[in-house]
Amino acid sequence: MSEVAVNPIPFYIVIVLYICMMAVIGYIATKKTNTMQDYFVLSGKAGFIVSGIAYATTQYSMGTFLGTPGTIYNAGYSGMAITIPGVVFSLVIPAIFIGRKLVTLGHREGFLTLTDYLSDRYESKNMSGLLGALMVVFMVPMMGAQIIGAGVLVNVFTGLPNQVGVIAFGVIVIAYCMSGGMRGAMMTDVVQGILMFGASIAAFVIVLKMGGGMTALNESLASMGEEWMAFPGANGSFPWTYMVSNILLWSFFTMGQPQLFTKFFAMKDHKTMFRSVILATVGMALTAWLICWSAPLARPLIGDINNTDYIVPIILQRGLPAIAASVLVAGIAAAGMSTIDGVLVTATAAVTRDIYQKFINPNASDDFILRISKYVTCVLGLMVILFGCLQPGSIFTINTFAFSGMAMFVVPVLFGMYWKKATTPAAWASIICGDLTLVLCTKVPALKEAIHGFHAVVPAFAAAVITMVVVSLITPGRVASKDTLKRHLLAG
Amino acid sequence: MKDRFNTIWGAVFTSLFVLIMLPLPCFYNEKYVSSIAGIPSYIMGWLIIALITFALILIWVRQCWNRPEYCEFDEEVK
Repeated sequence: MSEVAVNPIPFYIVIVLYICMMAVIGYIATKKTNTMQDYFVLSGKAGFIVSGIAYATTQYSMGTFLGTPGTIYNAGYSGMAITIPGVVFSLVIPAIFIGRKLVTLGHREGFLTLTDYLSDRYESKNMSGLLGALMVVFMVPMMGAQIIGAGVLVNVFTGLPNQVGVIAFGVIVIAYCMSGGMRGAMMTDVVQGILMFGASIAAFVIVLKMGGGMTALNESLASMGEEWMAFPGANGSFPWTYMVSNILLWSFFTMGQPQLFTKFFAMKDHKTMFRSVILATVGMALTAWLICWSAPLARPLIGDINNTDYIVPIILQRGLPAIAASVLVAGIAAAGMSTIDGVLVTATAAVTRDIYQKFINPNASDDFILRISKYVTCVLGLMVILFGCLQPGSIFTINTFAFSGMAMFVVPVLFGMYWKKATTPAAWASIICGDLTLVLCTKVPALKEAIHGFHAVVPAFAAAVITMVVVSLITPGRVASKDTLKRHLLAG
Repeated sequence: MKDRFNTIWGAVFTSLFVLIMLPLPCFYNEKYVSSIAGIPSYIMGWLIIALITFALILIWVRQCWNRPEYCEFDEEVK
């Protein structure tokens, strides 16, 4: 017997309405997208509501609503360590360490991408090619993880094969990104953010009502065993090392994520950045707390389900009328699409601007880049759909790996802003060494054992930092010019 | 002066960020210690740090608001 009752009609109604809404937004965005700068960063004119919500919704993905609650459902309260301790720091840490300078550089120098920034700081046009290629390598799987989730939702609620959901949602995202670029992505993010927030509130309230309140639910969960209420969790998967890894991964390493980095370039001024920090922090914190807290509380109510990724859709379906549940499940799908659209436009920039315009054909005009960007968005989107149909892994695993791969960009970014001795060869070496270490610590069993429960991103980051320092010290002649250092350094 | 301002606030938020990762019983506990409504005590620890951090974010924003380095592009918008 299916764990979720198949009830397709309300789901279809809501999805059709949702598609129409996205189409209208995409059309409006098209009218206002006339230049390459518009396409990638709204020409630096994004206000705080759009910026703040877009930052939050790009960071919060399908994993936040399916994979993470499913993981917490299996572990108990300790699983909330994935997101909760670090969520309040998710934007203020990037804003205080790099955001101010990125807003300034975006306006003064016309930077559009992470690669624009790094290749300028390290005076290396060739860096564009490496970074652009790495971004595509990690971003396609990141988007693929989201689209897998969309397929799961469609399968659960309609009984149709996963691939139908993958293709349908993939085509929708491609369409509004092709037409409206970052404006289309960020405008739809506002709608998607509202739906995501609604889904979080609904799930939490439903669980409390079904369970007779917080005290009763906690008593029931505690009666199942102390391991559900304490670390390392019911399945032993949350030792202290793993808790620390997750706090660092989702709050500190966001600084290396290209799709979040460029949100700062889109902001119209510093006051927008400050308002966005407040709005996004409140939104992300409330959403995370409510959706994550629903999961352990649901354990005594909804026991023994086969695929724990379904826990939030199950909660919504059991607690709400069919149409309302479908609206909010569309909100969960929206979470995935809001991440895909931000990443897709950023990945397009990586191909057309970072690889093609800067590395292959420097004479390409901005108008030409804008024209081909739309086709590249389509091609990348099709690659994501293919990835989603093949489903090489779980949502949480793929998403975490992709996020970790791009986390290594934090090293040249931070050292570039704070250490004048950071050199170009060191920047190259730190990224390559960091990503190699990440792959080795993920895939080689002996190395996995040696890192004692830490996520591979922690030793990878350490390796990248050591490489940056050592290589910089042995290549002192490759330091950037005084003019470049003056523009980039925040201290010293 | 502006570097000292940014350095101090960077240190404040970094300290809180590091604090919450420490294996102190109020943030990480291998025993169940019940607090309000049966909620594990470390959940309340995380909540308290979140509220303190958010309050500090508001203070930080207020202090930054009229600093010259953060008003650079305001005239362009006008």
